[in-house]
Amino acid sequence: MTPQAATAPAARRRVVALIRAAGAVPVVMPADEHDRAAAFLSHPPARGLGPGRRRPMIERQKVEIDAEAEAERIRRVARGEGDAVLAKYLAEAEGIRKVLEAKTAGYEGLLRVCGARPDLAPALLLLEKLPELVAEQVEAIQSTPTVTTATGRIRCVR
Amino acid sequence: MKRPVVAVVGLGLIGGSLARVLGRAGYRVLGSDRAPVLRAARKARAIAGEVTTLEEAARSAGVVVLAASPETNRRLPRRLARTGTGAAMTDVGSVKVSIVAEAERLGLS
Repeated sequence: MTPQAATAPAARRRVVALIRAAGAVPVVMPADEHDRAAAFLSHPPARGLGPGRRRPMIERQKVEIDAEAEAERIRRVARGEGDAVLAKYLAEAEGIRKVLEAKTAGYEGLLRVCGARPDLAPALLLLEKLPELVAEQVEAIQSTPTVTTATGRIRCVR
Repeated sequence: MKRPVVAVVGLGLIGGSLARVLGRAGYRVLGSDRAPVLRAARKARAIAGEVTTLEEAARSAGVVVLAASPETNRRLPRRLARTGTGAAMTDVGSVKVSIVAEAERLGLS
């Protein structure tokens, strides 16, 4: 209700009763406040804008929505790529962990074999690696350049 | 309080609905609109009677509800002011500033 200051109380009571009879709750307020409230409730985005300003506003909102959609698409792609990289590194880390655990188990076994002489462990390790070391030595010697002299062939040592 | 007769000017979606609900609440409601609309309103039992002019509505009713288009509603207070009756006037438009200003300008109270 937006009664005037001069509205007769009897007239106001008649209208209040009418509003209540229609199932509504009468609220009294100044006319300008009513119109602002009605405009806000009916057209929130366009409140206070004339037709000349609505179109640019709608265009701007469209651009903002498109930009947000593109940003979301990029975020989704980046999230997917990030997940793939993370999964790769996790798999690599898991492989390294398994290798290290196997090595640890091997060293523990070696120490058990050494019993009261843990100082023998390095020697046993070398012993285990001996065939491999010999093979590498042989290959190294074979690939070393030689020089033929009057007294015979001399292998150059770098 | 004795329920006054209500005249609803304009029996469209809002005016017709209001007339019907007030009739069901026990008000005697008179309608004012074009003849085909009035016939439909009578058939739907939204109104108990008809008034052919705004002046007749003001003389017959204790409350006149303006439920025509906003442009028409703005013109009606001037005609109501000429009747000099004691009917209370209200409207169902969503814009109040202009019609209140017009009522004040006409000295309606």
